[in-house]
Amino acid sequence: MNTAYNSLLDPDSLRQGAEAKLYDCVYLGKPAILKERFSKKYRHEELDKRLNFARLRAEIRGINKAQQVGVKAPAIYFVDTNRHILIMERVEGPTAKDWIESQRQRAEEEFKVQAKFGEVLGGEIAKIHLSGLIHGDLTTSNMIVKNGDPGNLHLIDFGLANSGKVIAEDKGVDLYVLERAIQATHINCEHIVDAILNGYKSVNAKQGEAVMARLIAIRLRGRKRDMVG
Amino acid sequence: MSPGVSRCYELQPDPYDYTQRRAIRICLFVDVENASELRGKLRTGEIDAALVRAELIIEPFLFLAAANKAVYQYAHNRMSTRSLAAELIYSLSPSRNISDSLNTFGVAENSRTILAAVYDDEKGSKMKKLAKQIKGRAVPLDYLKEISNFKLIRRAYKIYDPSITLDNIDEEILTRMITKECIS
Ligand SMILES: Nc1ncnc2c1ncn2[C@@H]1O[C@H](COP(=O)(O)OP(=O)(O)OP(=O)(O)O)[C@@H](O)[C@H]1O
Ligand SMILES: [Mg+2]
Repeated sequence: MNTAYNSLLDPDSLRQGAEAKLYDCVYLGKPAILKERFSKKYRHEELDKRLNFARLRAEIRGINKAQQVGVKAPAIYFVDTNRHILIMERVEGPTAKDWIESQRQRAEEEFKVQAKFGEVLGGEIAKIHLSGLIHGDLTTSNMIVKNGDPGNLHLIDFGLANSGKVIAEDKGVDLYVLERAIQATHINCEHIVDAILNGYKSVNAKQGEAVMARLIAIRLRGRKRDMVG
Repeated sequence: MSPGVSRCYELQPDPYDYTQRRAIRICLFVDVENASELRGKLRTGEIDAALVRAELIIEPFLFLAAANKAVYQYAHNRMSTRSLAAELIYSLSPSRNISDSLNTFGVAENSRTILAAVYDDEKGSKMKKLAKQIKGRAVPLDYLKEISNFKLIRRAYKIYDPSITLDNIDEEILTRMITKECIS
C-alpha cells in the first residue's frame, strides 16, 4: 500500500453546534471536516429526519450554487444522506469572528485591513444574491478567513440557505441579519458594516439599489419592534 | 511495466468504521495504441477495470473521491451501474445520465492516454495482468498534470464562470460529482 491511514476521526476535535457535531478528520489523505446533523430526542422521529435531511440538502445546494458563481466555499468530499453526514474540505484559518478580534492589536493597520475584508465580504454576498441564493445565517462564525488573508474569504454553514424564488426583501433580510450579528459580536465595527454595503453595491448597481432600499425599511421595522418590545 | 509506477491507495467506505478496508490501485498509461480493442474487451468482460480518459482528470484526489463513493454505494446496495468499475466512472461525472457519463469519462475509441484503476489489488497482480493488455507506456501518476486538459474539463463539467481557474476548479468539480444526486 502506498498510502494508508489509521483512523478517520479525531475524537478530541469534537465541536458540538446547535444542529450538528463537527470533527476534524483526514479523508483519503486530505485534512477535512466531518459534519453530522444529529437527531434531537424531543422532536418526532419522522419530523426530525425530514428536518435534518432538508438542512443537509440546503447546505449541499448552497455550496454548489456559491461555487458555481466563483464564491469560495468548502469542496464537498463525501455525503451520506441516511446519516446526514457531510465530509468537506477543511478550510485552514480563523473564523471571521476570531480574525476581526485578532486585528485589534494592529492599531493603525486595523482599520484599512478590516475595510478590505468588509468589501470582499460584501462582494461575495452580492454575487450569491445575484445568482438567486440566500445564505440564511450570515454571522462572522459562518465564514473563514483562509490563512488569515481577507481576500481569501470562504463562506460556510449553508444549512439555512434557500434558492427558490428570491426577492429583494429576502436579500435585505440576509444583510440585516449580518449587520445585527456584527453589532452584537464586535464593538466599534461600523466601518466594517459600511465596507460590506459598499462592496455589495459595487457588484451590481441595480441589485444594490433595490436591496439597500429594502434594508433601510427592514432596519426601521426592527427599530420599531425594539421600542415596542 | 516497471513496479512502483502504479500506486495503491486505501479507501474509506465508511467514515465511522475504518476497519472496513478496501483499496484501489491506479496507473497512468500514455501513447496507448489499442484503445478500440480495450473497449471491446471491457464489453465482453475480458477486462474488469475502470479505464478512464485521463485528460478529463484534473488530479488524483478527485479520482479517489469518486472511487470511494463507488464502494460506498456498493456497500449500501445503491449502485446505479452493474459493476464497481462502471460505478467509478459514473461517479466521476456531474451528470446523472448513466450512458452519457460512461461515454464521456470512459476510454474512447481514439484515446491515447488512460487512467486505469482496479479495486483491492494490494499486491499489484491484477494491474500487472491488465498492463500486458494495454499497448502503451505506464508512467508515474505525477505526469497527470501534463495530461489533464483544462478546456475539455470545463466543458465536461459545464463550468464557465470566468472566476474559476486552474487553482480552484477542483473544488467545484468535487462538489459537483459527489453531490449530483442531491442537487437537481
Ligand atoms: N469546512 C470547514 N473548514 C474549517 N472549519 C470549519 C468548516 N466547517 C465548519 N468549521 C468550523 O466549525 C464551526 C461550526 O461549523 P458550522 O457553522 O458549519 O456548524 P454549526 O454552526 O454547528 O451548524 P448549524 O448552524 O447547522 O447548527 C465553524 O464556525 C467553523 O469554526
Ligand atoms: Mg455555524
